[in-house]
Amino acid sequence: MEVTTERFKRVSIVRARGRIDSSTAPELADAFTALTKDGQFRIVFDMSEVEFISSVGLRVLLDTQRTCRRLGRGQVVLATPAKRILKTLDLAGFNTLFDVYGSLLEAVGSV
Amino acid sequence: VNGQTAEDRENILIVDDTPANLRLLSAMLARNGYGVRAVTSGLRALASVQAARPDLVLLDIRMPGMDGYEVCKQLKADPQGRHTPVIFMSALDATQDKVRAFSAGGVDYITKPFQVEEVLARVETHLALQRLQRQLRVANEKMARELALAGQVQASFLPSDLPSIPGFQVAVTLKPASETSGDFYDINPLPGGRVGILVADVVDKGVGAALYMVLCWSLIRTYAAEFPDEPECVLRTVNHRILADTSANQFVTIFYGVLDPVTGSLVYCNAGQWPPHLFIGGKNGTTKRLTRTALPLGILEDAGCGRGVVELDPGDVLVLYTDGITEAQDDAEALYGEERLMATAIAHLGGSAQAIRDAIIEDVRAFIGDAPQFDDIALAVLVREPAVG
Repeated sequence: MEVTTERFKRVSIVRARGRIDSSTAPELADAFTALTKDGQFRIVFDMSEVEFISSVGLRVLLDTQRTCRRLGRGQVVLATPAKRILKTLDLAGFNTLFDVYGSLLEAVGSV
Repeated sequence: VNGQTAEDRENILIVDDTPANLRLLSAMLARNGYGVRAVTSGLRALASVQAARPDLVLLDIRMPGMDGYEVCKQLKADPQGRHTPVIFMSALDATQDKVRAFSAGGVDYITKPFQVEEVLARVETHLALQRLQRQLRVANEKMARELALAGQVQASFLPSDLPSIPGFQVAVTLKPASETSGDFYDINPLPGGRVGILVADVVDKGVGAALYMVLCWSLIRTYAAEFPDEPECVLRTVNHRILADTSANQFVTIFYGVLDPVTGSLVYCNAGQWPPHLFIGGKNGTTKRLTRTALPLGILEDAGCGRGVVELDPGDVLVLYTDGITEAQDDAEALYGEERLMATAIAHLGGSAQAIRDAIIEDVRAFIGDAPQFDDIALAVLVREPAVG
């Protein structure tokens, strides 16, 4: 898995490419923590190139969402997950915990 | 060095066919507080190691009869001497001699004629490494024992004898990826003849997940008896308790159903578990997926919890499983998947609960091949026996 972060004035975009499982999830967690430590709480997670996310990966998203939503200072939104990823999110009910957008632009505009 | 007794003194075996070298080294090491044994041939060296294991061996390479390389190889092949560090000493200074010394199992190489300080420094370095390795080995063994014990304690929570359910067959299995498991199942007799059926999965695997799993299991058992016909009350209360009592960033997905064996009705809640499959009407029948009615537990305080109801008619089969099956990976990282699981179960409909369970486990194992089992697996198969006649 590869993670990249792009910081903009109002919002940050985190992109992961590949598989998010128990061996790679800590790296994703580090990327999110680096943002929230700097007070960046509006985060778009671009999932278009995520091939697989295990429950350990979901826990990373959940932890980050909790941190960002505290005191109403922001949130994590999910952009353009593939169908397979959507199914995983739906199975665990995570589509009710995150706003999911079909386009990156829309996600950035709404966070 | 001062104040050491003979017992905690570290012992060094010196092997050299030149008596002058032996005397010099022995005197120098003894002066620095080491216990020293000296022998003049390879065979004597091996015999000496057998008699009492030294903490380190200083080994000459060129000796009549058995040379140093051979002594080292034999020493390393012996369980008694395998962990003993060997430092080679030789006037040979070519790179290939050093390479050969290391490949024979040596940890270091001293070129003759040697400097006293250099020998002492190298000896002390390798003895220190050896001490650390020994501590690590002891700690590892202790940890392995504790893990195995944790696994046994945990396994003792699971029902060893499944309760018999009139008119039903049940087969279960739990295959942890390590000593302890984050997955669990329970088949729990409830007041009024009903039976609680549970399959759950704590995020991640290993000891942390296992501890959380034991907490969840005991909470569910407690509240299952409290609300024997309201699975949604059980999960709602457990969720409340988990959030109140733990600060761990952890969650658990649970399928919990209450079966009435007389009518075959199953009232259930699915809190983010992979949907169990209900096979209705045999091989040419239909399949119903018992999808999510609630969020996983441990996430939101006021998460709503809905319920579903299905009927198991005679001959119907319910397969409950965790993501250790659907997300099992083969060598090429392809996933086993829900479709293949469903197809395997359908191919074995008509068989006993045990036969269906075994067929699924066998198929998952065949799919994984040589790849390691990545996640815990829990599987439960419930068959309503066909009506007689």
